[in-house]
Amino acid sequence: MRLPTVRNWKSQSMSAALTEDATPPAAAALLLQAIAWAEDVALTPYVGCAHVFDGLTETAVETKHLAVVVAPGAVHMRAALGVSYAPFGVDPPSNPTDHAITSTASGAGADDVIKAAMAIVFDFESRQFWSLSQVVLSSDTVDDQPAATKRRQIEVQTLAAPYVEPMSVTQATSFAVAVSQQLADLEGL
Amino acid sequence: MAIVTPTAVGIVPQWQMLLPQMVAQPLQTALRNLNYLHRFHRPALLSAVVNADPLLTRTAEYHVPVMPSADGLRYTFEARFICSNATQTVNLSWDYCTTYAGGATAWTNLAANNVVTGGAGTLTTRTDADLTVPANAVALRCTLTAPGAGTRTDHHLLVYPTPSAATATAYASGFRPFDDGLFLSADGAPVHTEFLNRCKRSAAAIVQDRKQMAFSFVQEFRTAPRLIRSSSVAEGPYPIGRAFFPNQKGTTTLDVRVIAGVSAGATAGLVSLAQVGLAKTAFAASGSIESGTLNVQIQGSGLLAYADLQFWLKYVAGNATRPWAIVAFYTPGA
Repeated sequence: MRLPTVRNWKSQSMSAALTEDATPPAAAALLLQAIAWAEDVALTPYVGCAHVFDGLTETAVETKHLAVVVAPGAVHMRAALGVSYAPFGVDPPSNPTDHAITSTASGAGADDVIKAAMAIVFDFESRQFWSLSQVVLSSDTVDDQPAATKRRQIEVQTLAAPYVEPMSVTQATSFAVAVSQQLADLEGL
Repeated sequence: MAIVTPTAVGIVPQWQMLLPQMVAQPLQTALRNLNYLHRFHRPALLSAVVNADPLLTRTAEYHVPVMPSADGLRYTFEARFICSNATQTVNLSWDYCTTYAGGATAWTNLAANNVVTGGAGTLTTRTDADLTVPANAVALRCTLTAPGAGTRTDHHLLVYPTPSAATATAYASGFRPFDDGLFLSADGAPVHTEFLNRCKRSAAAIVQDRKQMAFSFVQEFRTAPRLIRSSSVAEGPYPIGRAFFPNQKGTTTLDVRVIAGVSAGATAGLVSLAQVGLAKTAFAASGSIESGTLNVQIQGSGLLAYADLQFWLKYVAGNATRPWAIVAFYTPGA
């Protein structure tokens, strides 16, 4: 018994010699791996560096400006923010509200500021310990056209080459960002 | 014959991946992507939100250990700072060294420029592009002078690779560029296994050669940096920083570099880097670059896979421990 051949004419070279296609299954497997290696290195987001610093102690250091290199194909990012006691001498707000994050791609308007919940580390018992510290992840909500500042994901440019995205963050003792969403269809790059 | 470097990663369309043939496409796209990777794979070699005193009226120096590419690539350097007064001139310089000896280090200058800032209290970003860092460099130095009037607050240092297009050579990293002439001669060169293997070997060489800074805590290089440990309990942890390792699972080994000093006494084991609740590696506050590794267990999954990292400082009564730079580098696959 022979089943009908499944042939995708679109992928065929109609003029190439048959010998150029001597082992199609092996060729397909090898080619797909070869293609994937280069593409995966290009598209896998870079490590999200854990930056540790004093962003609490004084008014002048509460907002930190930085930049991250964004790999191709990224759509949104989320941030991990740390808040700590003792090491820098001053407690975080006793009634935690929100960090404020900005990125150039997220927009420059007042409504474009991204809020991120602040870790609650206010605890009379645990304050006895040196440098109590917690990390929180910013919101997973996607809203690229916010009517008001809100907890949401950070917008980045979706490009086919890496670029530098300026950001800022307030009242944190550590900050890192990770690509949380990539382009669903890479052919759109 | 041409080594073509695309300016965007080439995505092979799905239809080309259905029973592909051993002919020029789609393999050529994959091979050209290698040339793209050489020029455009740009993870940060250095990314540090500096922990300096704000409102400085002095020159500040930052010494940061690095693990540059074996290929002696060009890198782009960015520094972010704010001056309280408008249109101040700050001289900003970058240097590297191949042997680190603290304040006695012999530095080689990469760039030194007078930067005129913008409005009062606005962010100044200075970019020095395409400066070559040799493979044997072990540390970078950034120096910012005091503004003529008012104060300066330093924010962020960023260094990432921006190499020139690949040329026909065997790179020390193991990368081999792709020349179209190998593929598109008039007679049609045969497709052989080397082309396929090159896709993997060159891609793997690049991703492993370009170390990615996964943790940073950097302070002014001076006897009284913003954070010193000279009181309280003998050893204590500092703020947790979460590093993200996209799509990684299991464990990975970070390369850790530390520059720290102590006012007097023994230096051993005064600085540590740890994964919260797990492994911890201690380093001496010797004034030299101390090297080691930290094995971390990746938590979470997918793009948000992470490890929570934390440095510890120890002090001996009467002495002050001064951490100037604690950094860790990630090598995919390590």
